[in-house]
Amino acid sequence: MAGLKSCPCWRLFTTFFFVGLFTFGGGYAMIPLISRELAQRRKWLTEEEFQEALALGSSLPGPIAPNLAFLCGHKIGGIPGALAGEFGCVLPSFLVILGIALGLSSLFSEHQAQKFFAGAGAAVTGLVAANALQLGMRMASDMVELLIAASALGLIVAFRVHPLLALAWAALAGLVAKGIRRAP
Amino acid sequence: MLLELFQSFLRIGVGAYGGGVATIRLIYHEIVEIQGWLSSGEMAEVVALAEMTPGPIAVNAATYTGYRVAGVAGAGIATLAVLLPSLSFLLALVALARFPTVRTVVKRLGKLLRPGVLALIAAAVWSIGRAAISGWIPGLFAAASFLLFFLAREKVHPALLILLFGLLGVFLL
Repeated sequence: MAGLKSCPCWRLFTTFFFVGLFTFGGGYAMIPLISRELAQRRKWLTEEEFQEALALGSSLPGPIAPNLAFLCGHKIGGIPGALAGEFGCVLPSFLVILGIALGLSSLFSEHQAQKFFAGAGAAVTGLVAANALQLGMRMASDMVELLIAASALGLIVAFRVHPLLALAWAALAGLVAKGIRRAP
Repeated sequence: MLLELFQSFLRIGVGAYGGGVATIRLIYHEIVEIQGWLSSGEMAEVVALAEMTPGPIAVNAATYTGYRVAGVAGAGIATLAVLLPSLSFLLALVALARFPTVRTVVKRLGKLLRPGVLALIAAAVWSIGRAAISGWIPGLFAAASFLLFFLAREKVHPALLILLFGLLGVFLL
């Protein structure tokens, strides 16, 4: 909340513009970039605040990437910061698609773009996997949480359950586990 | 026409829950089946395009369809419309966060959702990986970026790795 005094809106906007430029493959591809830019480099967000934004951004309606940008921006610079984050993160995809629709895509071949995406997507896979492992290791002290996470993952991957339902299942299981632990 | 665009993408924005693949069906229904703005072949192209360009697919589809239907103004209106529902939701939440009780509930909820979010992220690794890792070379790219993240995470920027392996992909794949 210290950011409210001197709202770093322009820097939030440019930072999320940069992050948005590299968000290939859905909202979670932002995680390595946000944690690098906002948590490590600028020390604007603590790990815990980022985790909270992740949890909220995943469970609210709408695409995940702008949600995350809004929530992180809000933690840093209030509502102006939130809007700067949201629009900064969306602008690159807007400009790129508009450019393609306007016919600028003839400047490069689709075949090469596909190859670029395949390589970039592979790198994103590795990076997000590394982040997932880090998050998992932070939870490793709690076997129950890890088991709940594993069961929710199984629901999504093996049974094609909607991500939101899997999230609800994990929350419910978490509540039940808490209740059991509290019981004498 | 602009009003119809706005309404359609407002509906998509409301329904686009949990991101990614789940929204494609919704976009298809609205744009191809109800409005007939794009043919199913064009829609497939939009999905391929969305995979190759940065940003969420709902936003990509909004910009592209908006442009096709009503030019640059259409692109702007459709993109704003698709973002508006989640934006209003977030603004309402942020306004409510002034009350300490709401803040406590949000904090607790955040903790409670942690394992679920970890599962969602791991599932994202699975779905991005399934699309991107088509052979042993991309597999090697993924393994290398995974290792580099841990070995030199303070020194190598993730964006640099994405760019590097993208360019390597152009030459090697």
